[in-house]
Amino acid sequence: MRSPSAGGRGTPQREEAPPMLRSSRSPCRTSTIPTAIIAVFAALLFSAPSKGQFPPGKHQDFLKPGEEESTDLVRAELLADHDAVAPGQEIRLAVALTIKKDWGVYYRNAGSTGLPTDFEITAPKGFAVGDVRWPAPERKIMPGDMLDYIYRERVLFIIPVKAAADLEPDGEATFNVNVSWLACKQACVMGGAELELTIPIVGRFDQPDRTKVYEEIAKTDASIPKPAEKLNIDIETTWEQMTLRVAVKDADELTFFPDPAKRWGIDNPVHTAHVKGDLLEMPILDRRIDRSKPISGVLRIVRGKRVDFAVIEANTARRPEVEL
Amino acid sequence: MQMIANRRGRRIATAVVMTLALAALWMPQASAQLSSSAERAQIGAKIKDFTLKDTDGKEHKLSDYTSKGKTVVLEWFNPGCPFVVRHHESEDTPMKEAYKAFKEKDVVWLAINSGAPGKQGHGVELNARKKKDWGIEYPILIDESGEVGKYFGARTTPHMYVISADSTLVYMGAIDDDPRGRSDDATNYVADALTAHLAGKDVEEPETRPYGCGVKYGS
Repeated sequence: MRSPSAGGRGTPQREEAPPMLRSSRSPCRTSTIPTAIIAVFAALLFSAPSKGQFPPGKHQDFLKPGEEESTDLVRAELLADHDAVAPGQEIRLAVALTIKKDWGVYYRNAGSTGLPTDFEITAPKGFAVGDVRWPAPERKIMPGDMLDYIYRERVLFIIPVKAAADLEPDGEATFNVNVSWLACKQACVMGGAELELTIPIVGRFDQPDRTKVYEEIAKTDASIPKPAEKLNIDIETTWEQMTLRVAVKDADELTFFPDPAKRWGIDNPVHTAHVKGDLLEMPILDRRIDRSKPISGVLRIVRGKRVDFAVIEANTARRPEVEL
Repeated sequence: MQMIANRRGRRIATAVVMTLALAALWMPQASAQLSSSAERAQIGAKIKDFTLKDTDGKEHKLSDYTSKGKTVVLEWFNPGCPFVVRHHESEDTPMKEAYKAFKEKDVVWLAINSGAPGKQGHGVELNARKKKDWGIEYPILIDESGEVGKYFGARTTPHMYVISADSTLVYMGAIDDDPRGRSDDATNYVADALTAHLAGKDVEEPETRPYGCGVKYGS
């Protein structure tokens, strides 16, 4: 079985790096030739000096011997859960980032600092691309009561794609994802990769095989936060006097990861958005809160050994005034 | 709305590794005159006065500027942060364009480094050298206790604040809406805030999400 996956290295931070480490492109094309060979060959072929804001030779001041290359920090791959796609079928692509120990990349709400990981997805005609499914992040607390939302070690971002029912079989479908990230430990390094994946289009009655990464993609997809009602968890969310209260019966620990928002924030989330208990009480900061939209985010719920992630929303609209 | 475009075409971000500054020289600084770090600066509220020394040892007191009718821009700064590098190492960056556009208009611009000793970008000598290398015309104030930074709630470098001549905070947030530095028509929030404020109007976006490296506080 062919594996429609290939690795791509992140963009570098040092202009003096060897040419093969400089590539800002990471072509990843599936074919009958082993993927790894193609990736290495393509990296050699297409390597080009990174283009951007940081001219050569100006950053030695900040480097110390042995400091990590960005290419060592984050490795990017574009994966698929099936090795082909049939007309009318939905498959899952996944951008996998493998992150060096002690470093992290950012959630869609980066938190106090940082930058959300960003995707630009291009699919061929005849394919509908769904929203990127973000796994729940973890909290990184820093001096000054600053709090970031990050991923460590390895994370998969799921991208559902659905083939049109009238898609012409016996062709190929090429998907491109430009992913960019900010990797941080004490210091921060920007990086990105241009990923490509080509998979065959088979007949409508064919059954594409699962790839070797199917289980990893399926497991990640199953862990993506879901609306509370789908998890069958009784979550009580109330909004009163600029305070969001979230109660979960029998919970041992609750943590709230707010969605990105321009108009509101949690006051001191290091201390208020996490509790060893069954009730979170989070003061909301912004007086200019947009009351036409709910406050939303992901709730991590620990009950005994079970951990669930629920999407929650709280309606902040004032009750309509009653005319007497 | 005033728009200042990034003139340089940019693609997927390249990168720079920043490490902790090596043994940075330490220079005593004036104590910030803030009674409580628990109190935070807020949009529309009066700002507490503070005094900090710059890299030349000269004291800068906020009220010395506001009492003379100056609008003050604060820019949180760390010369080791790639976002700060991007805004200062090249010409015609949104930061430099905003500064140039308003420096003759009763606007005082001050950079502040709230990094603690031993942290990335800390040290009078390093900051003085980068000020010279990058041609920064305004002072870089040293706030190594982090007291002023915490009062303002400065989270990132850069993190921008605009304070009116009557010491009211009228803008806090990012320099622009282009964290990855690849837009050709980014909105310069600070320039927009200054334009509106100096014209006697309310700032349309008084608070935006800052982007950049975390401020390297000690505690």
